[in-house]
Amino acid sequence: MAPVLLLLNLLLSLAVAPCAFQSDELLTEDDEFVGLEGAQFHDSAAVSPPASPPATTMRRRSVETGSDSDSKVQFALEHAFGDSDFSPAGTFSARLKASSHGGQILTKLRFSRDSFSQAEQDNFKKLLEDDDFYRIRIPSNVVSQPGREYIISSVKARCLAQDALDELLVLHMEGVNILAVSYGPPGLCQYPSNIKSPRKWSFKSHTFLKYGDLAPRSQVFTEAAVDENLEDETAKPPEKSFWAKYWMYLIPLGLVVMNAVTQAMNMPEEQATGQAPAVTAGRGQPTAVRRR
Amino acid sequence: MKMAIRVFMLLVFIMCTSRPISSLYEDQVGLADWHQQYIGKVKHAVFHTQKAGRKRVIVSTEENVVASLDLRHGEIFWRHVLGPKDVIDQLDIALGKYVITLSSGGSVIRAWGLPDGQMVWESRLQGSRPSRSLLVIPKNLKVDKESIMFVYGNGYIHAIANTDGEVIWKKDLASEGFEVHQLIYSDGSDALYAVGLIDSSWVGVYQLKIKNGAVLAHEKLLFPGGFSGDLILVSNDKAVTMDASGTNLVVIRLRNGQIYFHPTPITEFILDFSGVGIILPSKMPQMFILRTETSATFFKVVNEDELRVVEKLDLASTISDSIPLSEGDDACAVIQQDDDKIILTVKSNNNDWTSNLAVEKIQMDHQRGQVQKVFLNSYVRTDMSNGFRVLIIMEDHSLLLLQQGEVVWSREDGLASIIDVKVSELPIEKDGVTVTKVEHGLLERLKWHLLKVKGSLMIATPDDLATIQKTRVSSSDKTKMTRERNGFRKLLIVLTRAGKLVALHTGDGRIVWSLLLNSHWRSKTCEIPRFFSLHQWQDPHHHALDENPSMLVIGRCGDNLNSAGVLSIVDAYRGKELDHIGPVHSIFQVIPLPFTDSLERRLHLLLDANQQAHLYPRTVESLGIFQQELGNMYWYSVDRDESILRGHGLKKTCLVEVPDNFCFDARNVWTIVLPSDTEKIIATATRSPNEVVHTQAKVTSEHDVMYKHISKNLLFLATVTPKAEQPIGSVTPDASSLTVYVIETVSGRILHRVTHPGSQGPVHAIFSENWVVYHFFNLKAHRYEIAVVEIYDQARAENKDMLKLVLGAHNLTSPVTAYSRLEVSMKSQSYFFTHSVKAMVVTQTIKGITSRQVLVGTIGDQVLALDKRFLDPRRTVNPTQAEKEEGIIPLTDSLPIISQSYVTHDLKVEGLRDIVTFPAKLESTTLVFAYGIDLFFARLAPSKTYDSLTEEFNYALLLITILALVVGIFVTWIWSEKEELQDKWR
Repeated sequence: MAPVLLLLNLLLSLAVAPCAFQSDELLTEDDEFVGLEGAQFHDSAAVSPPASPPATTMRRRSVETGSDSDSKVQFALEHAFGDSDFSPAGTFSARLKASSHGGQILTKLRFSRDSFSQAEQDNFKKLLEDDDFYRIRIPSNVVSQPGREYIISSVKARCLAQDALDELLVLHMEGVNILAVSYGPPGLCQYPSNIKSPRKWSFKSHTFLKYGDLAPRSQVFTEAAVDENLEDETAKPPEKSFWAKYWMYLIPLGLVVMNAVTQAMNMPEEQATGQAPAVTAGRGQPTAVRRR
Repeated sequence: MKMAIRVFMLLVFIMCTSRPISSLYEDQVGLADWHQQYIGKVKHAVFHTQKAGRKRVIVSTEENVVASLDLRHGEIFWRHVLGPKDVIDQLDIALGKYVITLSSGGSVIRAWGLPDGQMVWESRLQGSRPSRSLLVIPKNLKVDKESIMFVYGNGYIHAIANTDGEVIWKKDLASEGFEVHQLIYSDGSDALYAVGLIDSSWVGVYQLKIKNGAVLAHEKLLFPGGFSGDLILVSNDKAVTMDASGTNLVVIRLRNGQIYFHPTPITEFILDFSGVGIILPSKMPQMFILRTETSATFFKVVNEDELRVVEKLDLASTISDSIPLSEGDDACAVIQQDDDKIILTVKSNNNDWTSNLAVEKIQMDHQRGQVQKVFLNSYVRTDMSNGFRVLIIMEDHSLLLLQQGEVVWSREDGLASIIDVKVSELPIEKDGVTVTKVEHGLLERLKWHLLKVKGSLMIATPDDLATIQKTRVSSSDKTKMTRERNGFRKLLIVLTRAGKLVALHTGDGRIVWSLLLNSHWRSKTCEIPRFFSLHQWQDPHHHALDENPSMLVIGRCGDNLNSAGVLSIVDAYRGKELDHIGPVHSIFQVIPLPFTDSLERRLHLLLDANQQAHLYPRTVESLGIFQQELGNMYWYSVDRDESILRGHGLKKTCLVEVPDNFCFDARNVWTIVLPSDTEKIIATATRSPNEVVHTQAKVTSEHDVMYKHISKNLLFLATVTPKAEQPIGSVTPDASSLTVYVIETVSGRILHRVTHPGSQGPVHAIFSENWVVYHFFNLKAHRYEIAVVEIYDQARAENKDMLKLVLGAHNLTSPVTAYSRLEVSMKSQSYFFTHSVKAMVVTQTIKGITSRQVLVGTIGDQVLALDKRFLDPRRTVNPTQAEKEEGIIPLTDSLPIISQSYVTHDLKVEGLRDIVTFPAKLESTTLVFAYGIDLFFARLAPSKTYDSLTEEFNYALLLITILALVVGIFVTWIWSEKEELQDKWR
């Protein structure tokens, strides 16, 4: 059952990944992200040690395995209900790998989420009633934990309370630094608040690691291309807008032509009328003929 | 018949040629735009009135401007704006033809031609350490036929040739911790004395040879207890200073290279003296002024080193430097203020400064505040007696020239330092007012239209043309004090650094009212008010129309972020302060909320330094409105030093000693921690809160719909590697990169993150609709770039089915929550751009239909309008026919700069700091106000005025044409009837 679910999750994550994020090299590799159902039932106290011990153990371990190209790191996820204090809620484990750009990057992130204890369930129900925040925090640096300050993220409790507790964690990374965590439901968040508490008090967690992209270089066109463009630009407008450009000359020209034509048409008539008396004087015959 | 055709043709021709034209012609400049030139608050002034045809005063200002002003009218003959860091320290005139400025802490000295302001020479003076800077220009001192001046700066004394700026010699005196306070050169002597202090307890005197700077003599003497403050010279061999306790005056006498001290307690002269006194720097022979907490006292040094009180004045008096009148006769001006009058007294050192050469009372505008500086100048009157004119600088930074008991001219130079601008509508036009006005001016209107017809028929004389242009520019229509249908007439409310609120009319830029808040705010609890922003407090447009709109002015009592805040509410029509709150809690950030109460007062949330939010106005009603929305209130804060962003929400109460219903605690909702060793925040941009977006979707050429991701909660953020914060050129491309983010500020999610390798700031960015445009420097290409990012919503991408839309099977109307998973896609592109940028904004129109333009304030202090079409990430090298029809421009590597698209034409907005745009009521038009040292206002139509005829449209010509056509028709009809009749008779 578990492998099927895992596969399903994987498929689901694969399906949503391309449209939610810019395709990222690390994301497309299968082992970079792991959808893990935190189905293990443990007492919350027993699972992960408080925040500071793992740091020391981790450091020791990294010293021990310093000769290797990669080493393991662990860091804790802590949660808080509303304005309460933070308490451990899960553990991330990952491998540190030397990056091709220099420095180290995190790979093979795995996450084990602790289930809610009874007290936590009650707290969560209260959050649902008050429509308050469920808050998480993780260290900002995985090597020297907790870094300068904890990364905090909050979400309204109602958003997580689906059938089970659904959550999506996207860790924005820069080397071994965690910049931010996008925390929330993997799909839509219910609104307005539903007071229904989830049936299962375990987390369906989806985690991603996300590194920044490089901006594409500005295209520099070769001289020739630019020249071509320029030529195009200079050549086109007269072709296109011959009328638009020369209408002010064409209209008067047309008018002059029209004027000339009308004058030319009037001219014989005028000549006829103007010369009429002379004609009548000279050649009386035709008019006389017409009158007849 | 023939005649009729000709007339008709002529009319058609005229109609054709007088079509309205969409671009701007030379004679249209100044119709809808105005430009005002300022210089800023004057620091130094030097008069140049002797034997000069044009009398002028040379000034240098706090805005680093050196200018020559016409003494008759106050106009600017010439002016130069030095760089923002090039602070002018000293100003003087040399040889009667050069203006000498010493700037940048005494390291740059320049000479400008007096008549035309051309730079004659410039010298850079090297030095070992920063020190005060002094400039001494002796008259007629020549060394090897070169007339020279002495400059002290950066610890060195330099002798510089007046004519070419060549350094003749320099002498380092700073090595022993010696700081020069005064340089003394008496005419005719061959030695220069440098008097100063060593470690505030030794007085040192150097005697330097003027030919080569060699030290002729050097003397120093310890004064037990030490000094405080400056050394003030009262004559060539006497100086005065205070001892370290500030209670004793010490006269220092230098005779034959020997130094003598003579301390005298101040209480000997001023019985009720307490606290600390300050000696004012004033160049009066044998005299100095001591300013204490209660008074200003004139002292005279008599009999070598004895002190005598000459006069005692109250504190509000301002005293000028003294000027020589005739042989051994000096005068200085004292200005005292008496409510709305200022009293100018010119005192002379005849009869021990007891005689007044002139006493004048001048009426002064209350809104100018107190006199801060006085510069005295004398002239010879027609009756050969001495007349005086004074230049005074007021609290609001304005500059006035007083002469013969009158204000000859005044300059509103406070407007050179605008902090914030808001716009206010004018009152609605009342019935009856317009009608009478129109009837009154009917004849004039007819005349004016006739002139216009003449102009368009090209039969107007040059005089007529001049009249036409004058009338057009100063048309009374655009300067009316009422609202107008197109919304072009508005009030620009500006807040200046001096704490003055000024309302400018958009028609011609004149000052409608002004209010000096500085004097209202100054009190015992708030000694140095500082102003920082201006907000629309009340903008009635629906049900509270009988109320006047009002503005909220926010400031602090002091420079510290933690200092108490002050609020003022000012009536935007009358310029009266309606309410004054404060000093209250500190004010860190002001958030205008999108809610108004029943009086249309906008709710504001003020955040203090302890991250507590305070609601204004403090009424029960506003509290009710606010508490309903409390859960949906989020804001973010950017910690630039630590490179941390935090998102905040609100708690229901506030933890303070005194219960306060209007106070709310903040809670941290999210945190983004950027690695401080690789990223440093340098720029942020958000959408303008009152921006209107007309269409949610973009239809592409393939009949596809792309939904814009439009959210008011997006933040653009730019970071660089810490090294790349330095100016361009100081870091290699490999060590520098620029990262940009688009962050959702409610949930703190990063939507977009992209790195530009080999790039650096400064970054200027604008966020509008669903796109961001940012400007940065590409180190690899050695060019500036402008990049664009457009954000499209993928979640709604499937909502294309019309049937679904009709049946309601879509999610367009469902409520949106920021916590749902966001599915957005980004499109981006970048282009090279020639200019470096001082400011960047986007045009705003009332409905958002008109295409937008990006307004770029260039390094040359001009405003360039760039169509958004050029910044379209979908541009390709060879767009298809369909794309071309859609209006996609073929891709080029750089953005074109079309010289016609400079909004400022050929004008310069010197020292450009920011540009604001606001919509007119006409959709096609937007109003642009650019400010720096100068002000510039213009009307802009990014897609041309498609929705109205231009003001230039000649209605009279249209009417005449129609009339003429009708007449023509009748005439031709009658003619043709006649012809027909004749034909029939034949």
